[in-house]
Amino acid sequence: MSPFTQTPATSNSTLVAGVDLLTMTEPDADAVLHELARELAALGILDPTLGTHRAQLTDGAHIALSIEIPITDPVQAWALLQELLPAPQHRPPGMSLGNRRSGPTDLHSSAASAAADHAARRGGRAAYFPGIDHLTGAITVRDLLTGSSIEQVSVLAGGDADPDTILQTRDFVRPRWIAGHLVLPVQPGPDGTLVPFEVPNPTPCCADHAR
Amino acid sequence: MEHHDHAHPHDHDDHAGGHIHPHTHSHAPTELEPALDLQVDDSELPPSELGRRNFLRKAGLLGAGLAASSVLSTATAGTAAAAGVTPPAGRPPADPPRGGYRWLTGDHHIHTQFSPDAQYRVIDQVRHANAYGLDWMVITDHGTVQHAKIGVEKVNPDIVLARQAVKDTLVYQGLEWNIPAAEHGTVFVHPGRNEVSVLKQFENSYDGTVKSAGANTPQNEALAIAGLHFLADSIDQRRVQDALMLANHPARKGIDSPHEIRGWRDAEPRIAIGMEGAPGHQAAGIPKPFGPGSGRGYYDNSPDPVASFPGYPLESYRTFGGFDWMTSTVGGLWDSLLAEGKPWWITANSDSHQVWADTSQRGPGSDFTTNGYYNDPVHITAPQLGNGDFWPGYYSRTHVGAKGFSYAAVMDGMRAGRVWVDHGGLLDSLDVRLTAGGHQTSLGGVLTARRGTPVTLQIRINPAQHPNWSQFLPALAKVDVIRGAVTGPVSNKDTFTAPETRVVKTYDVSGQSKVIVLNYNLGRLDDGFYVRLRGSDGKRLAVGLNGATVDPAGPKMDTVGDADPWDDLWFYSNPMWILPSR
Repeated sequence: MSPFTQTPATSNSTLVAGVDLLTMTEPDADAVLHELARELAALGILDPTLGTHRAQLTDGAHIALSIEIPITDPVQAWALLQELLPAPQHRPPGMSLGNRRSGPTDLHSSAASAAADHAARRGGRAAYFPGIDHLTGAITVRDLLTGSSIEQVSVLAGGDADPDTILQTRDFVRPRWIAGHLVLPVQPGPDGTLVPFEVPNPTPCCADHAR
Repeated sequence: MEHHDHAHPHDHDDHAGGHIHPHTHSHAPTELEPALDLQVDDSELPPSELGRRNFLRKAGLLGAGLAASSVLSTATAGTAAAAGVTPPAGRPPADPPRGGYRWLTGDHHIHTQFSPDAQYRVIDQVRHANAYGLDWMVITDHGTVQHAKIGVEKVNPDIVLARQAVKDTLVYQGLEWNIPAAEHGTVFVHPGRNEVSVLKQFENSYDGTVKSAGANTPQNEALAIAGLHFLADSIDQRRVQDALMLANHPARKGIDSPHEIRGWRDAEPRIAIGMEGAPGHQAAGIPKPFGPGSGRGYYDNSPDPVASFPGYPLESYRTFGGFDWMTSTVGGLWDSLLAEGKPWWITANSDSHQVWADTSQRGPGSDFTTNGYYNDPVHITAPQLGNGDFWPGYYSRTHVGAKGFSYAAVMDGMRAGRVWVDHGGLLDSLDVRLTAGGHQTSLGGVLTARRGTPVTLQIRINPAQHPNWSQFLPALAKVDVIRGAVTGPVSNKDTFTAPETRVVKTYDVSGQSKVIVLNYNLGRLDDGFYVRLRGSDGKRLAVGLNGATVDPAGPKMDTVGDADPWDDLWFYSNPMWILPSR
């Protein structure tokens, strides 16, 4: 998108910003976003929705972040984010909120793309979202849907999940924006339960598997 | 199936794979026809042969596997002796050779104490592989800084000694290549005087870890291609007699994009011949507390926004009946290559690092970083139920139709695509022939015939006659015939679908414990197509990812944390093509 496209907001009560810190791994991105959620909560700003998005530059891909907060004043939101976000090592961060931009052009463009995908709910993954703190242990699909902002639970190579099925959250729930909805991809797990598609500790390459 | 002796005129339309002979006799396949023999220059061909060559070339069907001529000289006795190779006789074949070939069973993906995440000695892996019935195997330790500096040389004397100690299992030296910008791959060479120096130079120049070239960039993708060219040049310069590369666990992390796979194959079809249809680590899904409780094959990843090809669906990160999504999806990535007419073969291997329930661990006092290897393993009392692998030959098998028991013959058979794979000892043998107009071809082959010629598929299966290594007799329940149209080269190199491929026939063979003979009528030839086979114990079936009209009863997605590999067994064959000659 062009550098000055207006980023649509998802509702009248929130704003969506994009930030590009040149993050290279999802665990790193999740850590940044969960820390941001803690700092926002300390300021009384609750229930943000914070996402990770693929960002493509000419020399490869990395991860950009999207930040949806329940603030309607863009001036206030902009100042808050400039205040709270960590300063990366190598380059200044790219930031985008509506028509406000800061940082290098390539990075505020990828930040704007992340915000636009989040706002349009067409791509990316939510690392933090309303209700995530309650999604622990084993819960029914119904309770997950009613207790969080996740709108659908979709079974890999299957269809929608039965609301009464038990989902083993493994205390790690990462829904994705797919075709306008916040969707949790799940798959069959042991003993007729479901488990989220994304595991908290995927096997790395050349791991010392047994230890 | 009745076999009739028939005369084989030498001007027929069969290709290099050799026509299929009745079981009453067997001899080596015929020489390559001029049109298929790329050693014969275009200018030397008569017009009829040149027309045929141009047709095959246009269809993308001239190259590896379909022109299996070898540019290689046979190793002199001197070089063979230097590498500890005495031409062995091998174990006596259990069955008479089928279709003129001896089917030799092997595994091209095995680790030793020279890998940072493994532990066994070379001889440990070789003796187990031999005991579990493997005729050939490849030692593939990870490309690492230590391996490039130390291990690649230090492992060789162990391999040479193992070749001498265990004469009826062929032991190749290779390595597990960190393909720049992509996944791992097996690279291995024919034994000889320069096997170490070529592998060492390759690893130091083209390994993604050694060269810090893992990132998903165009420069690194180009480095991978350059590595394949290096291997081809090593053959052309007679430094090694032969070399092959296969992509390992290709969909595990979504980082082998379709265009990279096509790029490797197209750059060096002689070298880059295929991929693991099924990954190793097949014990990794055994549920806790009996096993690791991970994903079968350790396939428990999700898309990496930085490294993964963004077009792959989430399902691609899981296995289906133990097989990789690229292979298990009817009308998926593998079929998209076959529909182009590109030879690209599948294998099944152990990826053996640390064996499930084994009672040993790395030798104490090991310092891999300094030494480049772990000390020899030692016995412990506690069975290691957190290990996710099987010994080579114990579960995963790659069966290669070879012209004899030799290093060169196995590599030639692999390059020709005379390969089928199974899990858990599901089949004793598989004999498949595609027949048209009095001519036949076998796995990996291509036939040409006039439009309107009746085409038939003859399948002869010996189901398992003895309990497998888990002490039960596996029972084949069904056999699927999969057919796809040859639709020609794709313009988008990231294509991973083949909409005109589907299961066209399923045979219920439940309860058939003796020889199974199936004859399937493929109709009269119109446009070109290919066929391949798949079969199962029928324990875990589901509608395929492309719907019931494409695959009504395919392999079910494996459950992460609860996948008993013995309760879900499949075999897959490589494809055969038939094309209209006019």
